[in-house]
Amino acid sequence: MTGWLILFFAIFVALLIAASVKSYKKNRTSDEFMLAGSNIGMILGFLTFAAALFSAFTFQGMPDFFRNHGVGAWIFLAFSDGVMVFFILWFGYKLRKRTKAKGFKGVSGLMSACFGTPWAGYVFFVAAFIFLVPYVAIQIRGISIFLDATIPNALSDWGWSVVIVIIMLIYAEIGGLKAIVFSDAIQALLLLLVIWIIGIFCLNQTGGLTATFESLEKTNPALLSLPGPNGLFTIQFLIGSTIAITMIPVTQPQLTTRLVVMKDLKAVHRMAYAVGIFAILVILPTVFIGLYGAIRYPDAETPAFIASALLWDQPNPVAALAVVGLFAACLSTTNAQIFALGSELRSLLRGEDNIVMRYTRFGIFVFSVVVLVFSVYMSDQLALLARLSFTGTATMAPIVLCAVIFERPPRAVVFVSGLSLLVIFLATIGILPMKVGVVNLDIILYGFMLVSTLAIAGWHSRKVKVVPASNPLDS
Amino acid sequence: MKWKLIVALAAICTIAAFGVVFVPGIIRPKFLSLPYVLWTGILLTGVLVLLTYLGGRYFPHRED
Repeated sequence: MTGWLILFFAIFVALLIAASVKSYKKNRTSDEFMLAGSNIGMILGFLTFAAALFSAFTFQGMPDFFRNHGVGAWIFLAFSDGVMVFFILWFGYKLRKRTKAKGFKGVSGLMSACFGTPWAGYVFFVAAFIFLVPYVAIQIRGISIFLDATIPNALSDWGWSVVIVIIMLIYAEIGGLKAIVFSDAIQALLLLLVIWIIGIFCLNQTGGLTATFESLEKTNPALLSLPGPNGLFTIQFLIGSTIAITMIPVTQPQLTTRLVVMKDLKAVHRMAYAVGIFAILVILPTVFIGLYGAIRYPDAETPAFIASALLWDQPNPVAALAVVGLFAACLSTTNAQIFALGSELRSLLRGEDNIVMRYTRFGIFVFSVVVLVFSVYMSDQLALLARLSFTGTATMAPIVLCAVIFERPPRAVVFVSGLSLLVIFLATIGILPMKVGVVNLDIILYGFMLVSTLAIAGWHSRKVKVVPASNPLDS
Repeated sequence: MKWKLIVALAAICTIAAFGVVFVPGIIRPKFLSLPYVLWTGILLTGVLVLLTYLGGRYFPHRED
């Protein structure tokens, strides 16, 4: 396999260098570096959005989710993505309209400008920092497990993580967002190709669709229905997941930024349905891989299952392609998220362009180190950690949605989001329970945010003129 | 009008999914060997993506 690995890595590195060279420009402004000149077309936009959304978590976490919790995992991610892409139609329009009026350097800066107080930006930035760190660490953790299994004893988990972060920092430093967008496009296509090759192989190994489901119906029928064998996929859990995932483009800055830097609204709308198609195409083979795991490796630990299904059970060229594909997925998603945190920091800073950029670059370095440390200590529950990240950042929805709807948004929603963020953070570190009676905490928080935001918005709209056409049903 | 209809269909699709379609404990009826939750999930996801395509075409606002 080593020969294939060297060949595919050489091709991948050559593509990265080509993307960097194409993106590099002397004397570029900070906006060109951080926002790629805000001129991304539909195809590149769709690939970069898809790559930022689907990553090592999809490649490794979803097969493991299907293996352990059954077919309800489709609703958890794919159906939720369907709702999300539809929501982008309206949100993309409102967001872009607002950024044209207020300017855009990052979501935190936009929130400060819209609310007329820096606290709105600070709260958003804190939420992004706290809940993007585990999400970024998932990527690094995922690829480290995989590389350690591929080349045992070469480096420790920690060593592989350092290598990834160093490559990412050099790459982002040379090319900026434009280079990240190009690498995202390479990654998205590679991910789709690799996951389908492995998915088809796994399906063949289990005897095709009919044989796979018949076998599972005999051995573990709970995998074929809700809520799954461990009772995870309750309707309550799935509704909570759908809300959190629908809010990803609203509250996760690496995706919000991609809606803003698209060339025009038409490109955003085309990108939305293209991402929906991509979601179906990329999640479908993870069903096959996961169910293959449920038949062949029902009791294996996550790293052992992933290494076997994606690596040892595959022909050498496919295994090598999987390593490179996963590495690419990890690199570009991590890049996008760390870079987004840098953009958020930049949007809160004031002063000379070159000094702000110096602080931003230092900030990107600090975020990378924090992520690196976190990735060493986190668990292997990749999909559940991803969901926690989505839930945490979803607490910022009241701030962002009011900012794009109202000309002068009500400041009270900053308190609503801040309080919700505090509650979910305390629950995450174990101080508050994740359930109150039979109701999940995230459902209670979504209810609280919805009711309080509607009440505040209703009271506010009687006092302040609402921005025209704020209603998505207006025609 | 078309946009409003598309939004209404997307809302109905989402509410119906969690209200009446995704029912716990059901494996049958199967479709192409797929268990009930999986094929209905794929179908409804496809419907939402189709509505996104149509919604983009009939979106009532334009960018300045």
